[in-house]
Amino acid sequence: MDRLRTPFFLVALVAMALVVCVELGEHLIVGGFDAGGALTGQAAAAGLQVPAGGQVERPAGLGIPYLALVDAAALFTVALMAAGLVVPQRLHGRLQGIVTLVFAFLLLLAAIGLLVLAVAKLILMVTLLLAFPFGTIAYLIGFGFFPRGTAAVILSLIMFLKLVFAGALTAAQQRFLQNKGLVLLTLTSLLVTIAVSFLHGIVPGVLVSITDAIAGIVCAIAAIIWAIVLLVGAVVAIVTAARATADTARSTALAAAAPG
Amino acid sequence: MRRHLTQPRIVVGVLVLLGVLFVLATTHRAGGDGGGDLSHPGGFVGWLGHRFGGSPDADRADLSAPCLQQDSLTVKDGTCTVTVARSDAGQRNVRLRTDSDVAVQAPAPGRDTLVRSDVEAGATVSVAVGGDGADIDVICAGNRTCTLTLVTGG
Repeated sequence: MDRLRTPFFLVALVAMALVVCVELGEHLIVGGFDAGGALTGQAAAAGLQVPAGGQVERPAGLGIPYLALVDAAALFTVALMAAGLVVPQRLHGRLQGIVTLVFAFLLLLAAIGLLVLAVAKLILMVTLLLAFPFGTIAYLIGFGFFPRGTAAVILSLIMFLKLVFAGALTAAQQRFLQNKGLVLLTLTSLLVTIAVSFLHGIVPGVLVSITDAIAGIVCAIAAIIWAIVLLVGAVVAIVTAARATADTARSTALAAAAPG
Repeated sequence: MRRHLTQPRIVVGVLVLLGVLFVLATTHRAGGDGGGDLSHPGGFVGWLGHRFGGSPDADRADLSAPCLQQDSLTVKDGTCTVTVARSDAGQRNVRLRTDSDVAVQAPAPGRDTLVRSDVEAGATVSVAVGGDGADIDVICAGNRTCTLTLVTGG
C-alpha cells in the first residue's frame, strides 16, 4: 500500500506536462481568424459606419496562457518528486532547496511582470470600450471578437488532463493526500481553470476579452502567492540542509578527534 | 484500514464536484455573442470604467484647424479637418457639441480604420484620439453653415 506505483506517477507527470504545453501553445490555436464581417455587423448595430474589408483578428486572450503560471508550479513540484526516483537521495535532498529557490524566484518575477501587463491591457480595453463611438470601434477591432467556443474546448481539454493528473497522483501513492502543499496546489490549479471558464461566460461575447484579462490577473495573483510559498519553503529547506551538513561535518570531526 | 478507503472516496467526490462546477461554468453563456448597448455598457464593465476613469479631454493647444476660432468651429458647406497633435498623454477625447446635423469621421484610436458617425443637432460627439494624434473630419453637407463648440471639462 505504501509503495509508489510508478506508472500512475508517470501518467500524472505527463498529464501535467501536457497541460502546460497546451496552455503555452494556446495562441497557436485560439485567435487569428478574420472577424471583419462580425465587426461591420456590430458597428451597424451601434449606428456607426465602418468600411468593410479591414483586417480584424480574433484576440488570443490572456486567461489560458496565464494558467501556465500556476500549473508550472504543480509540474515543477511533481517533476522534483520524479527526480527523486533517478537522482541519488542524498544529492536530491541537497539540490531540492536550491532548485526550488531558483524556480520560485523566476516564477515570482514572471508572474509580477505578466500581472502588470494584464492590468495595463485591462485598463486599455475598458478605456477604449467606454470612449463611444470611436474608441468602441477600436476595441471591437482589437478585442471584440474573442473566440470563446474554441477557448471552451481548450479549457475542457486542460480540465480533463488536470483531473487525470489528480486521479493518477492519488492512485500512485495515497500518501500524496497527506502532502497538504501538493493537495492545495492541485486544488488551486483546478479552481483557477474553473474561474477562467466562468469569467468567459458571465458577459456577452463582445466583452469576453475584458473578463479574460481579469482571469489572467486572477491566475497571476495565484501564481505570485504560490511562488512566495515555494520561496519560503526553499529557504527553510536550504537552512535545514546546511544545518544537517554542518552537524554531519561536526560529528565526523569529533569522531576523528576521539582517542583510540 | 478505514482511512485507506475513505480518503480516495473523498478525492473522487471532490474531483466529481469540481468537474460538475467546470461543466456548469463552461455551459453558462451570458448574452450570446452580441454586445448589448455598447454606447452605455452597464453592469460589471460600466463599474470597471467608473473605477478606472475615462480618457481626459485633449489639450486645446494640441488642436488646430482652419475653421477653429477659440472654442468654436464654423464649417461652411464642406469639410473642416481638425488636426490633433501627437501627445505623451496617450488616449484623449475631443468633444464637440453641434448646432446642426453633421457627420464626423476619424480613425479609430491606434488603428487605420476610419469610422464615420452621424451626429444630430444639439448632440455632443466624443472622438477618441490615440497618443499619435489624428485628423478629425467634420462634414457639413448641403448649402449650410454648421457651428460646433469644443467641450472641455465637466
